[in-house]
Order: sequence, then structure tokens, then C-alpha cells
Amino acid sequence: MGLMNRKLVVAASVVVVVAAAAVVFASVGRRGHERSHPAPSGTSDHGSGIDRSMAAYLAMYQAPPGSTPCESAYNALKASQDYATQHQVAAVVLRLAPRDEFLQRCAAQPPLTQQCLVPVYLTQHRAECAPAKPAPEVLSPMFELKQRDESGGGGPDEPR
Amino acid sequence: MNPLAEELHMGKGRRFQMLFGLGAGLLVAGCAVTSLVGCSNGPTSGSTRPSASELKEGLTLLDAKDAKWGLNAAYVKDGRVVYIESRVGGLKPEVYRNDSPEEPQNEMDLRFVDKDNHTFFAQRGGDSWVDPTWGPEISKALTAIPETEADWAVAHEAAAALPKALDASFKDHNFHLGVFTTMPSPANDPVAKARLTEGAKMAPPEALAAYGTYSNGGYNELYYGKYSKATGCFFWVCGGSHTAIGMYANPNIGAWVTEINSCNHGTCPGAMGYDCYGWNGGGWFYGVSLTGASPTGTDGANDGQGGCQTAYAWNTGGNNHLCNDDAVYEMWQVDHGNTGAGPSNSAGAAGFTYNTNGSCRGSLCASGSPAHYACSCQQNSGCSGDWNTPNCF
Repeated sequence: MGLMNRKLVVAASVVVVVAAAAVVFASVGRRGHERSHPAPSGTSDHGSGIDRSMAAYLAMYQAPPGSTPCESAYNALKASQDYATQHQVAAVVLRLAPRDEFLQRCAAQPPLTQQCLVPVYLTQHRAECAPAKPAPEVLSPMFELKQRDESGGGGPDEPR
Repeated sequence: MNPLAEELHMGKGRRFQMLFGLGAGLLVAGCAVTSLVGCSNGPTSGSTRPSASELKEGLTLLDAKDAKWGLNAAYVKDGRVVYIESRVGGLKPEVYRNDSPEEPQNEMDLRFVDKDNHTFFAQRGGDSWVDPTWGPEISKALTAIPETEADWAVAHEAAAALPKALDASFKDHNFHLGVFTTMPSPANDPVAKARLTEGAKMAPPEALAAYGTYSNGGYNELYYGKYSKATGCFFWVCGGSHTAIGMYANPNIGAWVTEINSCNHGTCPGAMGYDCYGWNGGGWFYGVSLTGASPTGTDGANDGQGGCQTAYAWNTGGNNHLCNDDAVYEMWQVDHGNTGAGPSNSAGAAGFTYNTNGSCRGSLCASGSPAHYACSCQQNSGCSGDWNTPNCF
């Protein structure tokens, strides 16, 4: 009988410990799940689709930097032009001067204009770069970008 | 036999039954406690928000530990409580991140909830709510008549107070709160006010007779506002257009009591220029069920999504469509009071498609006369011209 009692006590202890462990485990797991606040996932499929539609534009931002702002600007434009050609998508850069000519004309511009011709820099410094925009006759021999498509609807933007 | 002796004489089976019962009881009790503890971690649903009487006047941060996840807060003014909740979603497309580096780099949701757990303002960053529990809660927004204007006043005060109480890691949340402080309540928005006045004259006699007696499935009035800006900007030109939509609902009580803004992955309505509005002859619908539900399919149309195919879902999901396709789908839903396919969809199961004129805010839009919009662009000429922002219809 004494042996039976000891067995009973041991078994009861085991059950209590297991039950307590299960509760603690469940609690920790539950709290961990609730409090984990998972980090945001990457760009959605839909968001990626938007990027794909603008891939020729984004290629400028992924171009390798040059040793000078003018080299970086040329690399960006060339990367976009090459991407459009290789992937047969709408071109952003319609015409680009040969590298040496581009660099020569670019170097003749004020330092801020040179810097602002680098897309990555311009994105981060729009206000600073706004007054640094060169005249069209300055940019035109260097490169030509696709301009606004005037064939767009553009009618009265009012409800019926 | 004394009780102890009786216990000692129990059969083995009885003992194990007792042990099993003890263990199960402990598990049940423990899980109950665990659940309670879990529930007290912070309000994540209507049933767990503390009431105004449980809060002090002013701001209470209910859960503001992890800026990468979101925040829950409450603000009490003269006994009126408004709850503020914000969530962080996935990264915005790179195009939009480049365009607006000063804005949060992630898509974010924000909402304000009244004392009865009715969401009166919600803003969605992407295709669906980051926290899926928001959808069902928002769907209940029109089941009672909230005191919207008073709630908006408290919400504005809360949005101004909250950034001062949060550390620098919450700057993205603070960005949207800051924008919110600049947004007029629907009652103070000239366009929304004018629609209310104009819409009242267009209400069908049955709606006028039922004025103020809202019941789910009764008369509702819907309208949208469209906002757009140039996007894909490089050098000193921009590639295309980004469109976001603000949607309003009046459950036949003479007030826009719900506003839902859809940012369509980029800049939100409050942070860019207003273009135009649209509704379908005054925006009156009978039997429109405002669910706020999210179609789970990718085409967002008559694709057998059952309960999700109800009006005003305001969610698109998707394959190769753009923000402007989302916008057209949202505009179409408000115009038609349902989530069905657009009139251009001849196949029925092809998903939402719609052709309408658009205008370009940039250089790469292609022709917008008309532009082709769809939730799945392979169903509509590859969505030629969908970088145009759609004209209102």
C-alpha cells in the first residue's frame, strides 16, 4: 500500500509538472505569437508589378556610380538606354551623346548642376536641385528624354 | 472506512481517471489564464479596447513598443474617447520610394475608431488591410449612427498630441498622423459638403421617407474623391501618374460617417492634390451592404468569392496592374455600389476591366484616349495607357 501511495504521488507530481509545463509553453508561445509583431514583408507582387512597368526608369538608380558626378550621370542614362533596348520596353532615354562628349559638356556645368544630374542625388535633393536645372539647349546635346505624351486624354477632369 | 483509506482503496482505473482529470483541469484553467493574459497585452480588436471611464483624460499609449509593427493608442477629451491604430505593411514599390523619400518607405494603414468601436476614418496603404481583423470591424462602421463630427475633433487633437509622446522610431506613423491633422472632416470639406447638399436633392422618395432610419441593407449614399500626382520622376521630368482615392459613405442620415482612403501603394489622398469627384447620379443605392471585405482573388471581380463580392470592398489584389488600375476599380465600385466586373468585361470571368479617358502627369503614359484599366491587365490590352490618371466618371 505504501508503494502504491508513492507511485500515486509520483504520478500526480508528473501530471502536475506536465500540465504546468504545457500551460507555460502555451502561454509563452501565445504571447510570442502575439507580441512578435512580425517585420513587414518585402514589396507585394502588385508593388513589384509597378516597378516592372517602370524598369527602364529604375535602371538609372541601379547603375554603377562613376568617379565623378558626370560619370555617374552618364552611367545612369546609359543603363536606362541599354535596359530599354535589351528588354524592348518603352525607352526613357531617347538619345544619349557619346561618353566623351557627354562628360565634356557635363563638366562645363556648375558643380551643383553636375551633382543634380545624378538621379540618386536628385531624388534626395529635389528642392536644392530645382534652381539648378539647366536650360533645354544645354541638356539637348547631351541627352534627350521621352517627353510628355500629349495624346493623353486630358479632357475635362470632372464627373459626369 | 475513512476517506483517506477509501481513496487508497480506489481502483487503478479510477486513480488514472482522477489524475487525467486533474491534469486536464490544470490545462483548462491554465489556458483560461493564458487567454486572459493574452487579451490584456493590448487592444487588437473592438472587444478589448478600454472604455473612456478606464482611461485618463488625454493620451494613453496602449501599445507603442514596436514602430515596425504599429501602435495602438487612445485619446480622451471631456469623456469622449477615440482610438488611434496604425500598422506597417510591406515596402512600397521602388518607384514610389524614389519619388517621395520624405514619406514612409512602407505601405501603412491608419484608422480612428469611436467609443462604440466604429471606424470613422481608415486609410489603407496597399491592397488589403495589414491587420485582417480591421476589415470585419470596418464593415460594422455603419451599423449605428456615430457622432462623427465630435469624434473627428478629438481625432485631430489626438493626431497632434501623439507624435509628441512617441520616440523617433515612430516617425513614419507620425508622418501620416501629421497629414491627418491637415485633413478636414467630411463636414468641413467643401467638396464633401456640397455633395451632401446636392445628393439630398437627388435622393429617391423612398430614401427620403426612410431618412435617419438606417438599417444595414437600406439606403446608402456613396461618393469618391480622386487625387493624383506625377510619379516616376527623374531629372526634371516625371514618367507617369499616381492616383489615390478617398471614399465616403452616408447611411441616409445626412452625414458622411465613414471615410476610407486608399493610397494604392504610394502617396495617400491627404498628401497630394485633389482632382475631381464621382458618383452615380447622386450616389444613392438600396440594399448595398457595406462590408469592407477583401476579395481574395487576384482579379477582384465576379470570380466566385462569395461574401466578398459585396459592395464597397475597396480592395484589389493583383497581378500586373498599377495604382491607377486600383483607383479605377475603387471608383467603379463607388459608382456602381458593387464589386462586379466593369461594363467592358465581356467574358464575365475575366475580372474587372474598364476603359476610360485619362490624363498624364508625366511623360510615359502612352495614349489615354481611352486608357485601358484592369485588375489583371492581360484581360485588357495589357492595360495600355494605365499610367494616365483616370478622369472621374
